[in-house]
Amino acid sequence: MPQGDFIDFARFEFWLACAVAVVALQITAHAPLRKWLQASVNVGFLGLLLESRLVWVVVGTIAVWLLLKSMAYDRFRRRALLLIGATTFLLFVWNKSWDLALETRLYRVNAILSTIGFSYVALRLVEVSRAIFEGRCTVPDLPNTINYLLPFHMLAAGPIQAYDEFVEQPVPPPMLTPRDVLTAAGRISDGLFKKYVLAYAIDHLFLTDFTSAGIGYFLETQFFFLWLYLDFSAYSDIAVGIGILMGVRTPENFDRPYLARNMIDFWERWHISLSLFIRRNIFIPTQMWAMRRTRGDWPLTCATLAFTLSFVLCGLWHELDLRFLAWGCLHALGLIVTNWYRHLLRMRLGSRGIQQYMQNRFFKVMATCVTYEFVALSLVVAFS
Amino acid sequence: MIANRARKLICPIDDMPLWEFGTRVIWISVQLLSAYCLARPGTPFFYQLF
Repeated sequence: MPQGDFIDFARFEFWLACAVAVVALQITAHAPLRKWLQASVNVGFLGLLLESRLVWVVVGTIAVWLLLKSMAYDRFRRRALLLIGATTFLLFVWNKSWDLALETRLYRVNAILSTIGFSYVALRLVEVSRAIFEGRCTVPDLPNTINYLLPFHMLAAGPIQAYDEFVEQPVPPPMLTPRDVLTAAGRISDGLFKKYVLAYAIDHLFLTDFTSAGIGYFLETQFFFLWLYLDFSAYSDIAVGIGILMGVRTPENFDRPYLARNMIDFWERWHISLSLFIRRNIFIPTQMWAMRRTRGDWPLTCATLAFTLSFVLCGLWHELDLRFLAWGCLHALGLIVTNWYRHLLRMRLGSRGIQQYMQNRFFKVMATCVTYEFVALSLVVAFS
Repeated sequence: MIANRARKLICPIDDMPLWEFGTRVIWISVQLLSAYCLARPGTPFFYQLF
């Protein structure tokens, strides 16, 4: 369990600071220095949590920015990418190694990394480095580097915004309308209600850290998935709501994952920003490499390889331990089976048969139940 | 005209019926009030732990 400070959404001070940030950013919506004000807001939030330790985060961000700038020169491109990649990897591994860190003085580094949500910052570093290295985007200036890597409302638990999407945001943002304010208020209140009322009720009524037995254990496995969805999607709702008010585009992270009819559908509905990150940066490059090596003769096998690598890494991204490795492998297995099953159905039923199959209510309900149980079981493996 | 102005004060969204606006505001208020009553500082979101 990390021991850094965390952004506490139950504290009045957080919402007061949010309100000040929203008003300031709305007033300066069309000002040329808006990005600097936004960067100040992001750094300011971190300052409230880190106090004097903020200086390390600022120094680190400036160092990253300078390395990204050096990628503009062919001579330094590869070395800068290698340095960013190696440092990100080492800090990520260190961030996950609390037991080791507590035996050394370096646990203070872990506290800073946990506070800034380094697991998510690491993914954004991968995104921005790749986008610049591949020439898809130009090097950001310092305020935009801060705004992309350390957005306060997306810091704690994502969403993970693609760098291309960040760059394509309209500047200045569109005027805030009364409908936007109502939508934002609705999302924020939905999030707070899901977290502090619904998830709280489920936690107190059904969850026992998997120490129950018999029917209680079975109920707990069902409700744990629901509880996790409510808790996590609540955070995403709040982030989206705050983003609307600030005029900062914030990607959606959930789309009723409990209704997924197979594992591929599940990952298009659950932690969507992570799923898209995995697809862009691991799945598609791996699949394309494998297809080139096999001259496109074995597409299913290539996809199998890509799913395995993607979700083993996804599991380890959550925690560097065997339980999450097993969780990742289970999800990879679910995705591989889904992919093969789809291929089988296409061959046996043809396109018209597939359409009828997909519209059949009985199969839809069965598939949804099986998927729900599979995900619930995988969570038991990871969290019990 | 006075009725229009009064409506605009109560419901600033032009293309939304008054009853819908009122229902959404009441529901938002209920959600915020119940979350305020039950929220305890020091309870992070689960995925903040990763």
